[in-house]
Amino acid sequence: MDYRATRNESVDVNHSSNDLEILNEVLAAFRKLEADSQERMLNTVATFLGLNPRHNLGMSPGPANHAVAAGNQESLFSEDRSISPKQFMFEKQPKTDVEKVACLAYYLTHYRGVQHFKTLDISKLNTEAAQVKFANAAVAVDNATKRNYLAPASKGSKQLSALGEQYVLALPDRERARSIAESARPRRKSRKTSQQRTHDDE
Amino acid sequence: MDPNTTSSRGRALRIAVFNHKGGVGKTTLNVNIAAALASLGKKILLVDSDPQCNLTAYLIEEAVVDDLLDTSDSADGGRTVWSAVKPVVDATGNIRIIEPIERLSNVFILPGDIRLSEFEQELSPMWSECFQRKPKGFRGTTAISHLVDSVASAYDIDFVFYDAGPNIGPLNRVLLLDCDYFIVPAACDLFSIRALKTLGHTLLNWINEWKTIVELAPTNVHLLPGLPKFLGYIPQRFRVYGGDVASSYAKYLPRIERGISSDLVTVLRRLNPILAPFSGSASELGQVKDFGTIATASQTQGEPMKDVNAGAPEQRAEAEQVFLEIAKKIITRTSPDIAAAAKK
Repeated sequence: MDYRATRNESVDVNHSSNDLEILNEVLAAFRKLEADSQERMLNTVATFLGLNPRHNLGMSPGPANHAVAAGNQESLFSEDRSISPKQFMFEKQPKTDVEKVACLAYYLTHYRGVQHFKTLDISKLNTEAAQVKFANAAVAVDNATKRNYLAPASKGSKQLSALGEQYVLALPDRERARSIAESARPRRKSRKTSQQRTHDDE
Repeated sequence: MDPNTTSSRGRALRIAVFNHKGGVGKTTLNVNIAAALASLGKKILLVDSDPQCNLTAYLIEEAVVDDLLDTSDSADGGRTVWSAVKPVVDATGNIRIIEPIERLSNVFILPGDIRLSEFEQELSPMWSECFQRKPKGFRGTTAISHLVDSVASAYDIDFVFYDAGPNIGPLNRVLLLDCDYFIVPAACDLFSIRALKTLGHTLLNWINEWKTIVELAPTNVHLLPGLPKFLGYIPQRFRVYGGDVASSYAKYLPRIERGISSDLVTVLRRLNPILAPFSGSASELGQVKDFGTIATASQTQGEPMKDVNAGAPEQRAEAEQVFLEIAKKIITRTSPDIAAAAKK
């Protein structure tokens, strides 16, 4: 979704009433959050819409900011290494080894600039991120590949896939992440019953 | 801070889990006591000083351990204890400070290295050089102590645990002499009891020799404290049936207590009463039964027993309770030293 386009289209409508309405909605939504979450969300929204660089807000970059923005403004965030892998994993809250692999792959890609990586790179980053060790890292990477979060790259390396990127961006919202994973799953062809087959032949 | 010129022991108390008999559960104890202390709000540094690197393999994935070992010799990329002491062994400079790896919450580890056996070989002549008042001997003998000084103060560590290998070699000698306390794990078997007979006398020799070295030592050299106190013992690896210790193991528990009393506490007290403040049953820190599945799972999953994804919840809760009690006793028994270190 192009948020800038949405913003430009709204220029033509009546500003004052519409703005007030939106402001009320936004404030109502923000009142449900803690103070630090409000600050973080405000910063995220501003960065997300390209309205205001985060340093102008005088706030430190929260991990969520990176996560949201990384998909939209890579040039702004890809070089930013202020977030540690431990913080990143804490924010994303992966539950399974496959999710952990996807998150670590995302971190390698966007925060370390490592596009192609091997299982050992994932394991090393997992150690650096103070995560519990994998039961079997190779199997976890293999399973992440089977679920299309990772894709094969040159010389036996792996790379983060588009689905993997979207999935990690959706975390820690598990419902959203699940729906992304399910929408990307290829539909199985329904098996025709023998009766249907006979019917078709006729 | 330049760790090579500044001797700053800091407030972290150093404890060695030591028994020169192998297979008594030293590494398992280290991890689980560290996790229990961390759950009580303490910051722990585990130092894998065993060339077998069991503690490192316990907490870090095998592939990463292999990578750490492959790169430990490089001039600037190494991250193991060997990487830190290598310049001293090679006589190319002073120790290199390495960053510990955080594995559990508030538990950090300085990874071990198979090449520590090379360091151990060098420690023998270095010990002789200490007697000859040569600074090189002191530099080598206190290298790990220096490393721990720096890391512990940088990370505001409360307790340092040395995972010592099962031997009475020169490496364990310098580690024990660097400790404020030591804990003796003992398995319920004949060989553990036999090992106790030699433990006290070995420690006595080490302390006496270091005392001589200190008396002869030139000024401006870093010295080890050289007075490790006996914090307690932990009988381990016994089976429990119907709430009681199985008879085949039960007979060893009083024998361990007697052995600790006669072969360790008495021997140390003869030298200096403060070296063994606890005796008899009072010196028992806790009993760790054979937890079976969750002990094995703890090693493979790199988690303390209370957090493993295996076994029955009651079993995990029991393990948590056992190690919490040990951790509380450690805090209570070391509290005078903690207070003194804080004042300092």
